[in-house]
Amino acid sequence: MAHRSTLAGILASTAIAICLIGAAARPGYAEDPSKAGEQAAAKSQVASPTGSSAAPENKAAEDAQKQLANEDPTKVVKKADAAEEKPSGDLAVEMQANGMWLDKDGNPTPYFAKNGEMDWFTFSGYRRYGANCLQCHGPDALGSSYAPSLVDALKTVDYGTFLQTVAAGKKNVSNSENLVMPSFGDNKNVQCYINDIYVYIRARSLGLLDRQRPSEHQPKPAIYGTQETACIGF
Amino acid sequence: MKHIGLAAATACLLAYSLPVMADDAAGAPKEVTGPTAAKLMQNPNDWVAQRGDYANTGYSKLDQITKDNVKNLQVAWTFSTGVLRGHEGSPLVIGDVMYVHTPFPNIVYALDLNNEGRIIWKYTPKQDPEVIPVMCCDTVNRGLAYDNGKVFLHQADTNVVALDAKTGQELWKVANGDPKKGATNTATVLPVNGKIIVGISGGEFGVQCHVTAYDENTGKRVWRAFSEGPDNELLVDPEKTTSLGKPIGKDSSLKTWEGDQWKTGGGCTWGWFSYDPQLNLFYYGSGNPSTWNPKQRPGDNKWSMTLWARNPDTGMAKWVYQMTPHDEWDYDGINEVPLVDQKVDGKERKLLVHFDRNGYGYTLDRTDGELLVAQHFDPAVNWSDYVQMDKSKADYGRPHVVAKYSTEHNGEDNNSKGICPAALGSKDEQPSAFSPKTGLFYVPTNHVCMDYEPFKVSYTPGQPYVGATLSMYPAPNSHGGMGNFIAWDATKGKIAWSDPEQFSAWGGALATAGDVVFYGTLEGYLKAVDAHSGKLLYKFKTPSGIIGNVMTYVHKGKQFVAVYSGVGGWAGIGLAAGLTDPNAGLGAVGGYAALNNYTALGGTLTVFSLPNQ
Repeated sequence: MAHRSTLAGILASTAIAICLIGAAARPGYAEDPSKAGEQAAAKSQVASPTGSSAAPENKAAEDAQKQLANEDPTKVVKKADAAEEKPSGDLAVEMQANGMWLDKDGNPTPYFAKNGEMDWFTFSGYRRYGANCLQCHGPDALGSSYAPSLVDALKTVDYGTFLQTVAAGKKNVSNSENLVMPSFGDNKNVQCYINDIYVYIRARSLGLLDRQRPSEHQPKPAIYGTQETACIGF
Repeated sequence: MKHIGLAAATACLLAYSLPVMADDAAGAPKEVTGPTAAKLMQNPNDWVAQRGDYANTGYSKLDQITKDNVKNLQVAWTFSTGVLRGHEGSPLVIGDVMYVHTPFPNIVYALDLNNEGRIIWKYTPKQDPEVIPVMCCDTVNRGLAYDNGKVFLHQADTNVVALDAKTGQELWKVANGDPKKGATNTATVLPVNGKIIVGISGGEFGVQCHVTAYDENTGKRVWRAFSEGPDNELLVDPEKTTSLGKPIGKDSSLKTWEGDQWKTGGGCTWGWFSYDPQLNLFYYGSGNPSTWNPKQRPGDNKWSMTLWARNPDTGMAKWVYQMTPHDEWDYDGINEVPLVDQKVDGKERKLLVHFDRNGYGYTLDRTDGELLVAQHFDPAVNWSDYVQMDKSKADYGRPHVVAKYSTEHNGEDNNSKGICPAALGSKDEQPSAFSPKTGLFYVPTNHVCMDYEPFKVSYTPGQPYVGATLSMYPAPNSHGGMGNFIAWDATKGKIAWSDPEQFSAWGGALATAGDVVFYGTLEGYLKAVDAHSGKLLYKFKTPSGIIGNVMTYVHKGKQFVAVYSGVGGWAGIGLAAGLTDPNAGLGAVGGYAALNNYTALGGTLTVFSLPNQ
């Protein structure tokens, strides 16, 4: 919990919090984890005809959409099966309604499903990384001649520092180096997907994802689509 | 200095920036004169423009170094630029002085060739480092220009600066754009008719790009012409400006954009400018429309991706030709437009040749923009199977797009696979050279393909506005490398010979009267090949990867060849990573290894000559 409040402080101070999708798990979710999980799982079944289609075709779908809008995207709806054999880098313990998995500390993390599919956030993050980060940090987050490898960076940089760096930027200007990262604090293409991007890079850094597009992935959860639209504005 | 920078930026917001004079603000800048570039270009001993001459042929009449003796070439001297980032462009030589430039912070050195390269003067601009991350793809700069006793530098932060060639004293400085809105510069400038013509970058940031002319002596703006927008901003005459022989008509650009999307439309002008003194026209290509997601900007998006012929005195466009209407692949149309006179179908023509990112080698009549040849200059190209050459057809002059590789057709959130070339094009900014002796063009090319997946993005001023994710890899079912160095017959649209390269050939070429063609490679080799056959005659490994252009000059009767090394640029993105290998599981060879197994950063000028007899 202490970690989360630090995070909240960072977010407030950099004034970016408004449109984070599934920004770190909401405090209080853990009142009764097992029960909460069951309830939400049931709900997500109702509300997950998976498609991100914006226009509901019938009343039932419309109702589902409404219900969705009221639903808490950060509610934990699923637990990782402890008995399941997983790659050692897979730190996921529980999943929120928006499809984002968390590690034991409540930080976003990638997840391998039983059928070999990766979670939605890893895939979404791959795409957003390509449009916003690749120009400097290179293909597959491996770095370039003028920006560091994020695969390496995330081995030491924690989630809070990651958010802060992306929001505020970073400068390393000296006689020998001119490295400058811009502030992405008011860039919706980055901030609406900041957790997606984090999860993708973490998947690369943990060795869960090779140098490839995570083509086999879970579908976009309906509630994620609602949140995305609200954040980016279309 | 910071104060001046801010003032300049503010002035820029008001659309008409005033030059900052080095002298008393009330007075005119110090008058500096000297021989004109046009005159010095007649003398092959000098290298007075980035591509050697106004025609941008990258050709030198010097012939001491020949295909027979080039094997004896050796290093004469070297110079460290003190900067690590990617070094594009080349030095200039005027008389006994060599002018060397660097990437950001854009230092300029004047070196004394009579005194083993001793530094005569050094100019270090003060620039806000905040411009660095706004520059897509590294802080490169494609070099200085010279005219009338002045050296012209177009800095990263878009400040255009005139320096006294003798002393390095700043004569005037003017801001050409606002980096806070994503406008930056990497290009050289064209000095012509007492003006300098300058372009601008920012296609990945939704900048409405333009070319602008400034008075060479005062820095005062003469005209500005945008790539997209209303006719009065384009500087076109709906009746007199033509496209493929027909008047372009009223609102030719506005009609091809949805709403006011042209205001963030890109069409940037960061390539090379060539000039024909007889026709008094200059030529350049405009870049990709913003964003990279084609679904988000319906229409042909004119006049992005277009070859332009303009009058340098008025800016008025004589003709335009849009190569890639409604771009779906980031085939940024900015590559060089060399001007040559050759026979096509038995008839002597004034030609313009252009190797576009989209993989087509175009030959046009430069007097009126008539399209003569459009053929693939890399056999891997597959996004389009032909350009319609039949004048009676409705789609005359347009590329026929193969649906499978159309990211517009396949749509948002769909990964279109196996598109050739990749977004960096069958060729990027690295300029080609032409030898009038062989009649061939020598072209450094990329042999890379991609998967391209567009999706919706929102626009924020000064922030990347990209909207697609790509993965790139060497062209499948080929030699496994990522580049070729080719010779091209522009009158027929045919490859004469092709040398495979392990990495993209990202260094600009030089052709000489000694029948030698020079170019640099990403691993750092300076290579000399036979102009007739492409046979490798000499190679030398410089301290870093080469993305600069080879140049040549004579000093005290002896011919020298020089090139910058210093890996970076867009090519540098793959430095650490290499490109993904689609055939990794099938035992593909080591051609896919990362470039950082071969070279590291660091800017050096290496100068070569033959041993003394």
